[in-house]
Amino acid sequence: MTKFKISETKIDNFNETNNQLYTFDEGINIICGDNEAGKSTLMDFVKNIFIRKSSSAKGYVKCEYEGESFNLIAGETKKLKENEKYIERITAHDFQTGFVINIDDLMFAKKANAEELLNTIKDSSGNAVNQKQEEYAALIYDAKKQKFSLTNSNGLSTNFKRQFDNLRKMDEDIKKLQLKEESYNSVCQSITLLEEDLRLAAEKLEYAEILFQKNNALKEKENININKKVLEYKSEFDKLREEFGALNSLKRNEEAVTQKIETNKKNFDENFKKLNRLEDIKIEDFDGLNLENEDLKTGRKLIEEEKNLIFEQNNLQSKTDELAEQIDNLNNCISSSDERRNKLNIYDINEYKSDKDMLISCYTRFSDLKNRMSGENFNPKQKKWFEDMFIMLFVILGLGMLGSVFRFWHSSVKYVFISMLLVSIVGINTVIMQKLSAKKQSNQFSSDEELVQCEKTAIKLAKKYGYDIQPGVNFIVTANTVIEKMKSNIAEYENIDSELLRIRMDLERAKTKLAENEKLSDEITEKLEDLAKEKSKYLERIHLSSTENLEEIFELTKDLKFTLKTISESETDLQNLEKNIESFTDNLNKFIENTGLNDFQKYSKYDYPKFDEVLSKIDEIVCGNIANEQALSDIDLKIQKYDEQASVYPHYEFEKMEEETLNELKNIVKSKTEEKARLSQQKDDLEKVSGLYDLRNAKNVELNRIRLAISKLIQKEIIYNVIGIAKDKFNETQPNFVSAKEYFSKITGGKYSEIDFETKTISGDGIGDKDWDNLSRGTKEQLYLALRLGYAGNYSKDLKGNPNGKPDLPIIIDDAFVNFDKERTSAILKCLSEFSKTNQVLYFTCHTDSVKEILKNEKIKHNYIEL
Amino acid sequence: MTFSFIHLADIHLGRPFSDLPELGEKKELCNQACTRSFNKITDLAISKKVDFVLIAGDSFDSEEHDLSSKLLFRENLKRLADNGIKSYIICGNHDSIEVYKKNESYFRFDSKYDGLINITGVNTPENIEAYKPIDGVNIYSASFKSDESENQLKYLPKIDDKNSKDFNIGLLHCDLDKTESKYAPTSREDLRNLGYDYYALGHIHIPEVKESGAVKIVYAGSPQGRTKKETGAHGCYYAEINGKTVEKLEFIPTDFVRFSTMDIDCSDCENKLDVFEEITNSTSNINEDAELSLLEINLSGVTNAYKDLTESENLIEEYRQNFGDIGKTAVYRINNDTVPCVNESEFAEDNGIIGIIHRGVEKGEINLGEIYDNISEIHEAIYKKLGLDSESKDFLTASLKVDKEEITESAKKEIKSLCSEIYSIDKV
Repeated sequence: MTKFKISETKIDNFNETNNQLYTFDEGINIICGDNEAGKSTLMDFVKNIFIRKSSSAKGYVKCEYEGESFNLIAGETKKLKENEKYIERITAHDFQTGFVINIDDLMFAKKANAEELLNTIKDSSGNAVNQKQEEYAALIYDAKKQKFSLTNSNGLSTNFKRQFDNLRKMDEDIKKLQLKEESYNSVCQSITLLEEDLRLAAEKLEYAEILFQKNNALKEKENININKKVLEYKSEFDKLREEFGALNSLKRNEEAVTQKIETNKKNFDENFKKLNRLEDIKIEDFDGLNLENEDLKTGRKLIEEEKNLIFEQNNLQSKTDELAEQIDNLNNCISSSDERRNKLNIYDINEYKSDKDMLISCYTRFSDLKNRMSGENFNPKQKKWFEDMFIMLFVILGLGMLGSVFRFWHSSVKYVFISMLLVSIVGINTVIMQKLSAKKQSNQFSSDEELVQCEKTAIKLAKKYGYDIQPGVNFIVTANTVIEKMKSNIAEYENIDSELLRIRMDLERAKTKLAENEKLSDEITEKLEDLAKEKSKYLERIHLSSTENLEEIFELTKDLKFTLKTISESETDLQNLEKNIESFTDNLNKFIENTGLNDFQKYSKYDYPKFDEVLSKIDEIVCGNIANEQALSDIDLKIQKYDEQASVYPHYEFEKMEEETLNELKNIVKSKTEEKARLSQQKDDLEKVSGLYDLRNAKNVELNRIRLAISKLIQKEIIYNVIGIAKDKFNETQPNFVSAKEYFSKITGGKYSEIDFETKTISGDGIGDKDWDNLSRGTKEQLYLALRLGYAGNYSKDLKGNPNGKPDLPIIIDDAFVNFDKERTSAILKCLSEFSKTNQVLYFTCHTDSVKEILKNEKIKHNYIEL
Repeated sequence: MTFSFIHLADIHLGRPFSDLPELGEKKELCNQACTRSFNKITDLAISKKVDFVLIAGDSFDSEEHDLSSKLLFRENLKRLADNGIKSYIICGNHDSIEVYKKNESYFRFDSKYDGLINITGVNTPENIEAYKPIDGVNIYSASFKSDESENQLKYLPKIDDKNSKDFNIGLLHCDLDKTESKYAPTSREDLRNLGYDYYALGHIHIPEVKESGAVKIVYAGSPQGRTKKETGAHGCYYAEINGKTVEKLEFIPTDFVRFSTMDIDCSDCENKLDVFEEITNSTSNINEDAELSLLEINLSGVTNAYKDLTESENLIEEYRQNFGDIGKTAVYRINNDTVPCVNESEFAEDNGIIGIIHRGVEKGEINLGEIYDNISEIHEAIYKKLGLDSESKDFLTASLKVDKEEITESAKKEIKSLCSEIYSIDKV
């Protein structure tokens, strides 16, 4: 039981009201009275207690709440404080703002905006409903909603507009690029078609050119004339030319030939005289003088042979003379050598040698004996020799040791060393042997006798040959001298012998040679004689007396013969010239007749001077015809070639074949070629085109970016929607909101059934949303009342509609509906009647009659109090 | 009889990378990746001196003209042919025979390439064709006439006595293990029944050997992955055959850019900066053998950084502007799956709007899906009015459907965070 009702009020000493008692019902109490009837006094008295306003008033308000009845005392603060235990949960603010409705409130409502209106509907704590939470949610998401919305009031949001525009542009670029690439295919196809057209056009042009050239050739052919007879007799004309050339030469040379004849004759005479000087030949015999080259060769040969033989003979002779001289000299040498030898007094060389040896032997023995007797084993020579050998042996051994140390035992050095060593050893051995021999000899003689004997023998021997050896101390010296002399003589003798031998041998050779030379000389002489005979025959044959001047004679003869021949020929030429001119003239006339060259006359030999010119003219004609013939042949060949060339082409028809036609065709080919080049360039350029892949990639990236942004956006929108839905749900379950809607519907007589606290609109059946700000005054007031009632009616409930410990307080309405019409007033009263089921209503009004009427008509149960 | 071949498919020349933000310098790497990958396979074929190359469809992304792609394709086929390597190409759903015919000028080859470059249905009269590249080997191929196709196996010859001793290859573009598909749905049993030795398949972009027994069924995958769904290595298969035996079947990676994902727990992060630093530290340890690793980062965990992260207008751009790339890696997408640090029990019983919001969202009384659908309707209508090209429109409209769950979940989390925040302020 939460209804808090005022059952009774006693007012005393308040606003000139004293000791007035009023009783009230728990439902709707209508307190009517004119102005100054005390309505405000009653209202203020009650209000003041609830709002704890201190005054001098006395009296009380008797209340009933939760089965308890108690008085709330009016008066000073202390007394008001005593009321607190009954009304502690009812704040003065709550009461003032929630449970007192007067005309000022409606005036406020009329001017209030939607927010201000919303704030009137508070939750039970006196706070605006969801103010905090809604505020936060709205703050967070309203701002973000604006930012992330795909659209705004102007259409697509700027951010997304930019992104989609970008996307569209990328797509356009891609399409452009695709078109470019697409055109590659068509370009290739165009090129293929064009190539075929070009080929056909070029072919037609080539064919036309061939025809054109052929036509030209045919025209050219028509313009060529040929004299066939001229061509037929061309060879005759060539002969005429040759003939004339020869004639001309002769004619030109006639004088020269004559002169030549004279000159040759003179030369002949001179040379003949020369010849005669060399050889006596008569002119009449000259013809018989036939000297051929072979004759000259033979003559030369004979002369040469003779010359060689004579030369050879002379050589032999000089050699023979030399030999003879040599023999004389050799003989002289022999004589001289004999003489020398004789001077040596050596009659028998062998005996001489033997004597010499004997002498030496004596000498040697003598020396040995002397030496032995003097204690010398060696003679000085032997001693020196032995010393030399010893030194050499020593040196060799030294070298051998060095070789061992320094290892330069090259094989050749080794052999040399060994050889030298052996020689030294042999030398020393020889000396030793000689010593031993001398020793042996000394045994054969006794000492002094032997000495004397040796001396004697030696002196004897020397004397034999006229030498003198002195005995005694000079024996050795003189003996040695004699021995040396004898040796020298022997050597001399032997030299002379050798010399003589040699000389004799030379002499022999010289004699032999001499004999040979003589033999040769005889042979040569014989040959010369034969040669002379042959020569004689030769000369006889060639009719010459000698071979002297043969060369010159031969040359002269040859020249003379040639001169004679030349003279003869020249004379013949001169003779023939006349005849040839006549013959030529005939041939010329014949040629002219045969060839039908009517422009030329018949000529005689006397027209000879003109013949050059005539022939030139004919030559021109002939050459011209030849050229024409060649030209015709060439043209025919050309035409044949053109026909062959044309045969490979298809047969094209032309209206006329002129240069103009060709030019037209050329232009066609040219334009197609240019077109092909252009398309080929286009194709090449297209192949270089790239970027489609990059563009597609970039577009992909952009699309994904947009996708991501939109995802974010949608996420935010979802959240916003969720909050909105939650708010709606919240609103739908808010008891004061629910009540407010109900009351509003009642107050407006069902016209408006919905209040949207989110959008701050009202709506009803068939009536669209109307903004609170745009409501009429009356509707706004109705709305306001509904909100106030909604709040007041749920003051005792929490958000879930459960009791919150607070009472349902009575609501005091101070004639707030003065501006309402009857209908509205009726509606509000009905509503209040409904409201009074939960909350006591104290409705103060001065419109007694209208209110009474409504109450009666609507059968509203009420407590009527008239002041 | 020994021979070797290379099997590739789904080159999709002309298809740009999807889902990428502005990558700065690395953009060019991505742009060139597909071209380089294809060139690399051609170089590989030449260096290994294979006997032939099989290309199982979708060589081009669409019939829309991309001249450089078509020229590249033509030049590589010619390069193979100039080195004596035959190529056998079939048409897929993206590059059907129709597409080739519309672009025939690109695929008109000189007569010296006859028999060397074989595009089934393009330079042959029929869309089903049999080839004999070398003695003892048969290739049976089937091309898409248009962008859809039924199962084509019924048009291919079965193995009989005549060709049972040969090594028989089926070259197909199909959807394996699917009964309802617009793209030649095919079953493994059907393939086995046909009796070929090797099925060179195309259409699925992830490389995989579906069957490795006596009958090999292989999807070559695309040589270069291009969306976040195409993670891992991409390339081609190289096979060496001896008689009827596949002696070697080797996957050779040829991709230059590789997609991968990474999960990062943000529980210890206080703000966005912490999160970014965590990302940077984690990505610096990546070691892939591709030239560029594109990373999708999934942030998770209950974190105080949630609000910071969600308030970011464009998280990936912010990260890239402040932190850039490290080495061979580039972060291209950051998914914020973190959860705010909220004590829901605090405001679960709130009597005000917060309580209504929380209870409504948790229990589904407030249906986020419905709200999303309503918003989507409005957006779709706006897209239509904007005059966008059909591709952009379709993309954005499709995104609305695709992103629904993600966005509603994010909204739910953010609502909780907001409730927690407002509730805290309210209490203060």
